[in-house]
Amino acid sequence: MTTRLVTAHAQGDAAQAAATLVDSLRSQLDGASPALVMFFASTDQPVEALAPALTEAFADAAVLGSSTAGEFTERGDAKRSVVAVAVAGDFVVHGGLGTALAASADEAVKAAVEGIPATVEGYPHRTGLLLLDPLAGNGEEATLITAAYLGDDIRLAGGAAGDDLAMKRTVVSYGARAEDDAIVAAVVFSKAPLGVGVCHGHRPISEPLEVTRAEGGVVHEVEGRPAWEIWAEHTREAAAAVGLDPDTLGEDEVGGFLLRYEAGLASGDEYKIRAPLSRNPDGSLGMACGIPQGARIRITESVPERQIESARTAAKRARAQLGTDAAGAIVFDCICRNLILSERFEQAVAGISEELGGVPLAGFETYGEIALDAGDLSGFHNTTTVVLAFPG
Amino acid sequence: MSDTTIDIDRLWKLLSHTVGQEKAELAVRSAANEIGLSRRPALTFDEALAVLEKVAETPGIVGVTARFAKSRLHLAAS
Repeated sequence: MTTRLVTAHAQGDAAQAAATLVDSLRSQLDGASPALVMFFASTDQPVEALAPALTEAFADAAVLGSSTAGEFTERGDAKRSVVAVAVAGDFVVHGGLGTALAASADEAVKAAVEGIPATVEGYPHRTGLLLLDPLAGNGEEATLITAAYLGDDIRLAGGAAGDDLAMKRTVVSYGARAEDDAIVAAVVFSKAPLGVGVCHGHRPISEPLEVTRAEGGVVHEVEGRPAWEIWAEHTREAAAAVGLDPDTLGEDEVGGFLLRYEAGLASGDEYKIRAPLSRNPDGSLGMACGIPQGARIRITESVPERQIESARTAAKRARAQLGTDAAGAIVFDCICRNLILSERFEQAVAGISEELGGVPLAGFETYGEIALDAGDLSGFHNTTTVVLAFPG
Repeated sequence: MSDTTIDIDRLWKLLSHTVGQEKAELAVRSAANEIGLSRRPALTFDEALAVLEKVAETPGIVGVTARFAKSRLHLAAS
């Protein structure tokens, strides 16, 4: 069966937006029944309201949802809206949702994956989808534990939910159930492999700095001083070049600022990027993924050209894994890339579609991205583009 | 598998993708020291697993990563 991947975009209140999405997807599917529907919604269209409506409309599909910091399709980037993607073809999708992620990644993941079968006859390839609440602060743990539960051959793709940079509450859904402090895991069983590509475009701007006090998802001190003090000191010059001053930021501007200047952990010749999400009153930083005490980091930044090129590279990598033409893609793209690129973000999205042959795609701006190939030793990323390509 | 030898540097490199190379090296060398394997240039497969098991006792991301690295080590050796 030929894969059909269609996308839709809607604005307005949740009920109106859900109706628009259902109508648009159904008309483009032309009678085909989707195995997978994913939607990505701003805080103006609560996931709690959209999930039941879309699940009822697409009763035979696995319906996954996430709150976002921005949404896009191949037709453009938007805010304060919702996008959806439906995939019909030779796919079977099973999934689930686990809660209390902050308290125990292990228990939450176990609950999310318990209903997923190990195999589906006639569908030899498996690709995991993950959506999670990054404010739980344990994205990497949750990703590695999911990979461990699902098996060594699994390839994972996904994203950490957003909330339009409020950094207060992020929500994910499976079926009609929507929760914060939660993780959604699903497995796409397919007859041909799906492709997952990931790439980032950051570079270090500081010397190595030691994390001298950290606990869970919070970095309290770097080099023996409150983490924010160190961040402000080491980003002041780079920020001035783009008209920003860390010393005069309003509280509502701090989250966006931190996403421009993220932490890099050295791993060979590469840097694993870790995003600070919030500044706490004591000067500590809340991270999307914990950094252990004693680790040495560098503060990083990126320039627009590198961000556009890295998106294309992610798409090329995903396409290479397909081994055939792509029908379309789901994209998980860090919100910081949108902040850096501004109006040029659409150029990056267009580049992904072009690299895949001009196909439709839908995605959202995340607080963290998930990409793990069989054999990889880390799966949670920041400041990257993750492209999940479906075979045609 | 028991006759496979594993350089201790390979062990901490398994963890460095997640926790950075300095923290990974410190965690692995401390664990090896604690179980009396720090002076060995290379470890048997079982000794390498024992080191990762010791690191896996660490709370949080370091411990989770060590548990995951154990499964990857098994995979690589199989």
